[in-house]
This record gives sequence, C-alpha cells and structure tokens, in this order.
Amino acid sequence: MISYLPYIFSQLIQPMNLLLMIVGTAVGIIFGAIPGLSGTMAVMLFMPLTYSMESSTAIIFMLALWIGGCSGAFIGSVLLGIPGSASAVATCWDGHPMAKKGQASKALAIGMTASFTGTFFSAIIGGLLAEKVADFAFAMGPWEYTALCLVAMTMVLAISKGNMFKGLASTCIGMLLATVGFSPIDAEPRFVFDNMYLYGGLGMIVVLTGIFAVSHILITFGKGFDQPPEVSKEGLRGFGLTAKDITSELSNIIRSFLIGLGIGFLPGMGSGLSNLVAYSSAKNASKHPEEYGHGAAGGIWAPEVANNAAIGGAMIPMAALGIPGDSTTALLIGALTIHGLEMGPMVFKNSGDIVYLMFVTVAVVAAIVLLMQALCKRWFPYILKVPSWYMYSALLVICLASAYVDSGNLYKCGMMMVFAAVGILMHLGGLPASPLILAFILTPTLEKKMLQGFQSVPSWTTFFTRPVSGILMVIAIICIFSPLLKSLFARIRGKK
Amino acid sequence: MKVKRDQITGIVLVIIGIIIIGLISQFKKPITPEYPGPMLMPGIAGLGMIICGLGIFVTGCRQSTPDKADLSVAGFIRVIITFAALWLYILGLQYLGFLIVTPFLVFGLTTYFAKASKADTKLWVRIVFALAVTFIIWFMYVQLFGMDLPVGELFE
Repeated sequence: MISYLPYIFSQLIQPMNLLLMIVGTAVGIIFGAIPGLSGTMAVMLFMPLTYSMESSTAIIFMLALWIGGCSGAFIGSVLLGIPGSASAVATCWDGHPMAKKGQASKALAIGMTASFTGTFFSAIIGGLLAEKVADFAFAMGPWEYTALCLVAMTMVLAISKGNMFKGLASTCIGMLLATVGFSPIDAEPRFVFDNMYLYGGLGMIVVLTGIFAVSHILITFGKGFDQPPEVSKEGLRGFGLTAKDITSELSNIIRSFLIGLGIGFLPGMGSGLSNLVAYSSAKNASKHPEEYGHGAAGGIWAPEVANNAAIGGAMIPMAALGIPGDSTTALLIGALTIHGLEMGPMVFKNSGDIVYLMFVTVAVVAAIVLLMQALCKRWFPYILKVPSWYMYSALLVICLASAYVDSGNLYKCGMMMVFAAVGILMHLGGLPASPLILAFILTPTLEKKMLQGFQSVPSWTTFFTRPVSGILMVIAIICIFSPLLKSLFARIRGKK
Repeated sequence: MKVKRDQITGIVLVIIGIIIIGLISQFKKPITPEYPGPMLMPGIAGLGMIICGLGIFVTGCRQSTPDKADLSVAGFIRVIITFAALWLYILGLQYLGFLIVTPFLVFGLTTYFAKASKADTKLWVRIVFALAVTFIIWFMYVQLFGMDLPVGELFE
C-alpha cells in the first residue's frame, strides 16, 4: 500500500479532484439530510456525469456523494425527528428529544463526531484488511462466488420485515430485469423482441433511477408534499461537545464501531441494520437505560458510529470480492465496471492504486464532512426548509437527463418512465425496492459464475459438496426461509 | 367480498411468471442437468414469481383487516398528470431540445406541485427558478463535463 501513496497523494491534490470532492460532499450532505432523499439517490443521479471523467476523478466524486449522504442523514433525525435515510432511524430516538431540550448543538456535534469516527477508522481498517480478504478470495472458485452472490441477495430478505414472499418477489423481478439482453457465455438473446435497444441489456441507470428515484418522487407527490417544517435555529452556536463527552462514551463508541464494521462486512447488510443493532446494544449495556429515548447521548453515539463504520465494512467485500455490502456499494460496483474496473481479488493486482485511492478518499472525505458540518451547522435548518415543489421538479429533470446521458438516446428516457410505472405498481403492491436493486446488480455475476461452475464440473451437487460454497448455500437457504422460521419460533414461544 | 391488495399483487405476479415461463420455452439452447444454459436464471425468476405470487395471494386471502389506501384517488390523479407531463417532456425533447422544453416543464411542475400543496409561491420566483435549473443542468452536463443533451430534431 505504501508504494501507492505518491499516486494517491497526487490524485487528491489535483484541483479538479479536490473541487469535486468538496462539491460531492456538500451535495451528499444535502441529499442525506433531506428526508426522502439519500446518498444512494445522489450517487444514482450523478453517476452519468462521471462517464466522461478519469476513473480516479469519478471514484472520488461518487465516494464523496456517498459519504456525504451517509453522514448527513442524522441532521433530519436530530432537527426534525424524521430520519434522512434508513441508516439514521435510531438516531431519531434520542437525537430529537435532546434537540427539543435545547441541546440541538450538542446532538448535532455528537452526530458529526460519531460519523467521522465511524467512517474514518473503518476506512483505515478496510484498507488494511481488504487485500488479505482478496488473497483468501483467490482460493474461491465459481461455486463459492455463486453461493456468495446468493447469500448477498437473500440476506436482505432475512432482515426485511413483513411478508417473506414480497421480498422474494422483488428479488425475482430484479433477476428477471437483469437477464434482458445477451446471456453470458452462450450469448443467447433473451427478452429482446428484436428491439435493438434491448440487446445490450436494460442499463443500470435506466432501471434503478426509474424504479427508485422517479417513482419515489411521484408517489411522494401523490401522497401530498409536506409544508417546509419549522426548525428551531436556537442553540446552534459553538461546537457543543467536550473531550469528557467523548471519553465517557468510549466503550459505547468502540462497541458500536465493531458492530457497524461487522454488519457492513456481511454481504447484503448495511447501515440500515447496524444503527438499530448498535442502539439496542448500547441501551442494554448502559447503566441508565431508562434515559434512552429521552435524549441520552449514548443513543446518538451508538447508531451514528455504527452506520458510518458500516461504510468501511461494506467496502471490504466490495473491493476484495466484488460483492456489495449494501445497495449503494452495489451501485458503485456497477459504476466502477463502466470505468473498466472490475471489483474482485484481481483488482488489487491490476488496479491496486485505484483501490487504495478509494479507501484513502473515504478517510479524507470523512474529515471534509466533519469540517464542513462544523462550519455550516447553523445553516442546517435551511437545508431542511427547501420546499418540495422546487426540489422535486428539478430532481425529475436530472433523472431524465441522467437517462439520456447514460444511453445517448431518448428511447431510454421513455424506458425509464416505464420503470417508474413499475416502481409505482411495486409500491402499491407493497413490494420493497432494496432486494430488486441487489438482485439486478448481482444477477449477471451470479449467472456467469454459476455457468462457469457447470462448465468445469457439470453437476449442481458441486455447489453443496464443496465446503465453503456448501456452507454459504445453506446460509442462503436459511435466509430465504428466515422470516418463516422467525414467525414459527415466535408461535412456539407464545404457546410455551 | 372486497378484493384485497395482496390478492391483486399475487395474481399479477403469477400471470407475469407464467408469461416468462412461456417465453423462455422458446429459447434455442435447452436446459439440461449438466449445463443449465441461458434458461435457468429467467426460469428461476419466472418460477419464483409464480410461487411468491401464490404466497402473497394466500396471505391476502387470510388477511382479516381491510387494506389502508396508500394513495387517495386525488393523489393517484396527481401521479398520472405528472407522469403524462414527463412523457410530453420526452416528446418535446425529441423535437425541440433540452434548452427550449425544460424551462416549461420545470415551471409547469413547480406551479402544479405548489398549487397541489396549497403553497403560496410567487410567479417571478418560479420563472427564475425554471430558467436557473435549466441553465445549471445544461451548463453542468454540456459545458463542464462535455456531455450531450438533446438539441431537438428541428435544430439538428
């Protein structure tokens, strides 16, 4: 890694990269802070802008959007009591009560410092561990990769609430959409209906922006936009945090960090789960659990450290295995492929400089986020007051411009509108979007590796008889049926 | 008996699944135990949709509580109108190009969104906003990053 430092440093000090890092961070924070938007949406919308950039510049910009989005999510939680994204749900429970007590400055300072701690240290650990994991991955054959992809796709079902069939149906839709175009290895055209625009596949931006962004905006409008909230600007002066505030929560910070890093590392999981687990662990370990839910500092530290530590955790399987930790890393893997970087163990041999640039960029962006948030804290209420009617009309234009730029033709814009309709129908039918995203991005890898496995050994039993792939297949099967098993266990417990 | 949301979702998924299975049966390369080929993945997806559709349908039949309306009729009409506006916009992009059509769309959407939200917005603010958004997006994509946005068939 040391040998790459001069390259990394030369990239980070380039004026264009530096500018995009700052702009990306600011845009990411705004997207993260506003409920309904997210860092994932920011990455999705601005990804086509990176097509004309150098790989390194594109990576720096997208990572800045992502990290800014993850870190900014706590702002809405603290000031409004509405999380900016799923990763900051638990932050609401103590962040908003603390703000209502007149300690908004302290709540925000904890959020900022916790975000920095989680992101910065997880990026360093991620950078140190990723190559070791990649070395291990060299021993993996197509069978293990297939099983790992299956685990990533099914784990999201294990944590999803509600109907198991709905999560699975969403996964199946994602798989189906990913199979449009020429099949891998055999090059058989599938579902193309002699349409030249479909031979190359549906395209990530077109499908995901339609289903995830455009449909979300239309549904939000259908439900009725909220009036800009009244946010108190009082108590936002000064940093609001002392060294004692940090040292008194040190054990909570370390525990939450490890939880976040571990959950982030698991394929298919991410910050959405880590903040909830860390919050409940912090509450259980606290000497004053009764204070939780009423503005306890530990209740902000835990979810914020954990959801940001999940970033570094998710980057390890992303870089070393090419398997996403969550839906944003899934998007990043797709974007990096467009820039000619196929994530996986070989990437350390072929483009080690770029991989380490990624980890260092995350650490640097974490510091920029902290600085930016500390300096701009008193303006946070204004971000939350942006009227929806202005914001969403501009975002719809950006969605359509992205689809055009991605493909160079208006046909794909029309196709994106079709997927927006699919997204609306899925929402009305109660089908979640996250499993679709993961399945859409993972299916091509899964299919290719699976067929390679069959080419090497023409038998499906190999997927179960090889130790690692066998264990992973069993985990995937357990994940699929886990909602059923959970309710079965709950019934048995209830009878007892 | 009132049809429940999950019942409709289930039936739709089953129908799509059956169509998919029908379509993949036309693939040239057959599926064999030694090599599943291009049929397997869409086959799993189609079969999965049928099974999940049946599961969702049965869950819907067992559901005792009535569905909560996710979108009101008025809300649904708002979605349809916005959807139609975006289709018209794409048509406009085809013939007139980004710079001419976008200010109209942004102004129209902002006015409609604000009116539907019963918000009081000034006309000149909406006009300036529409022009500014168009210019900023055009500048960012075309000038800053060297990408193309539609110029319109009439001006090509």
